[in-house]
Amino acid sequence: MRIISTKDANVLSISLEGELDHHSAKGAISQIANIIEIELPLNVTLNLKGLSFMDSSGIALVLHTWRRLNDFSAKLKIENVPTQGYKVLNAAGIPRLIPTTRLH
Amino acid sequence: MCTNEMTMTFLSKSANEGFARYTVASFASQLDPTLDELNDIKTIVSEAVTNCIVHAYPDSVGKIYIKAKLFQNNTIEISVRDKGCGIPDIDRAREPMFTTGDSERSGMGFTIMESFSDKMRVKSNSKGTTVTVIKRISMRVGGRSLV
Ligand SMILES: Nc1ncnc2c1ncn2[C@@H]1O[C@H](COP(=O)(O)OP(=O)(O)OP(=O)(O)O)[C@@H](O)[C@H]1O
Ligand SMILES: [Mg+2]
Repeated sequence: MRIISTKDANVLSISLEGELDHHSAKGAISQIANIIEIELPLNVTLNLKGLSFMDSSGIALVLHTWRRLNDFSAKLKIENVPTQGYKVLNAAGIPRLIPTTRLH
Repeated sequence: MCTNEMTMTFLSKSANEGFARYTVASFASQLDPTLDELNDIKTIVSEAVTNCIVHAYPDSVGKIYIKAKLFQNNTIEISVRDKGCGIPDIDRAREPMFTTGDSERSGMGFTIMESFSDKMRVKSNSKGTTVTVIKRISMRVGGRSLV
């Protein structure tokens, strides 16, 4: 699992690459929390284009990040979710809670 | 009629989650599943194995047993068993969002296993838990190139 963040004028973009499961989630959650702590962004985009697998650990990661951002009224978007990961997020109703787009 | 069967046993270490889902998916590929069906199988196995690691053996390392069977009607049955603490109230555990875990769990594992398969059975007592899922793989006339 690789996490890459880039920041432009008002959006912090965090890209996740590889497989997100219980084994990799702990590290990913704390890495993302660290990035947010340092940048204190107002808008965050989670780009999941490079995510080749995700299970329910990904739901917790998304909710964790969303709650943290809510604490200081920052906004979260999830972009480029591959089919497999979208099915998992959808089972938990995430797209109704957080703007989510699929990978085409 | 069962046409093929495999069993695997491994330790409840999180590094084995990927190994387990790829091994079962690789065995299932004999039924010529679509990519989506294969992904469903990987997701189901990942959920069941994670539950053994996180919930069944919370403070120890135990063994996880997987048995997969292929049937003539293009169905796969996957059982994931542990000898861990067991589930006191199975109906409650199967409800969406129910979790006894920390904030790194969402309580969606059983919901996902159930909706990604055709049937899910959970048996549990104080000696351990067995989750069995059955998934039907679509029959594709002429093989994958026609679909
Ligand atoms: N193998 C098991 N042994 C003991 N308890 C289990 C086992 N599997 C599940 N449970 C219990 O059932 C609950 C629900 O499981 P489920 O997989 O649906 O959610 P979760 O594991 O808590 O969260 P998530 O799967 O979303 O990360 C767990 O919190 C746990 O209490
Ligand atoms: Mg679970």
